[in-house]
Amino acid sequence: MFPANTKFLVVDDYSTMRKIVKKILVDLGYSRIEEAEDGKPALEKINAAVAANDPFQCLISDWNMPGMSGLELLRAVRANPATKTLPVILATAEGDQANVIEAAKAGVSDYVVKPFTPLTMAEKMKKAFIRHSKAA
Amino acid sequence: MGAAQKITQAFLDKEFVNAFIQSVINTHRITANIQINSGKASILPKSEKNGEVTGFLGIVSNNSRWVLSISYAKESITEIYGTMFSEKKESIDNDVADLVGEITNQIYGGAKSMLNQRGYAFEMAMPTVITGDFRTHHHGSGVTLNVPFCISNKAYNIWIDITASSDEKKN
Repeated sequence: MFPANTKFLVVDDYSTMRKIVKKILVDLGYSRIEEAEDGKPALEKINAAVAANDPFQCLISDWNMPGMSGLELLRAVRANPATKTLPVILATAEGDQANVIEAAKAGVSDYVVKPFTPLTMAEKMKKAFIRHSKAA
Repeated sequence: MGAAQKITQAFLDKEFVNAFIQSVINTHRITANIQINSGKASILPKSEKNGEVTGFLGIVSNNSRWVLSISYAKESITEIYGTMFSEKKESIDNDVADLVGEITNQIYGGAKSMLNQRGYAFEMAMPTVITGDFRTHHHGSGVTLNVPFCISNKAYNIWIDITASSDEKKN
């Protein structure tokens, strides 16, 4: 599982969902959690954190957002050599098989369909961590 | 068969109706940790005004325009908010409206996944939330499926409306 000092970025256009994910992370013992309300400000935060030599170590993002979508954000992260190995979990209400395949092709670390329980999110995080640890 | 009849037939399809009912119940149980129960579904000639805060989603699928709405009485949504965030709300503010938007999104996502496996072609959509007094209208050959819900065994104070009107005249 991600170590206790892992730095997270939670991205969702709904503050409700950001609060839910943040609460799950806090209950799991994490405290370095930042938020963004769309893909574009999220990408700015990710790049700024890299420039400050304090990069995010896990990104949990919604898919369906009005500005830059979670999928576009994922593609931008994977396209940048500085962030291409960042674990990215997409949390979305879009559970269709086609969406899962599209996210997998774009290099998602794991995928959680809303509504989800804290246990489900914790399991997805664990899988994403193992996958990235093996790749490193 | 006319498009209005096809829409009514969809509303009479138990699996279509159950996809939405099940998604409403699942979303509240998992996201809000609240058990809600459904009442009797009815087909109405038009959408009725229900609660004080409503999430709407407009969808186009199979030559029909659909509007999904979920509407809450103030006491039901403030109870849900309190259960989720341990914070008592006296009124419907931006936080409560945001919660209704997210719940609407999740209900649609859940029902969409079930129905698209059965040949529907519902696509992604963004919800809108309206608070206060309003009345909805639709043009042409539309019909509305209305299902009431209640928290525990209290009076019904959550409603979904699925209104459909066809594009038949344009074809």
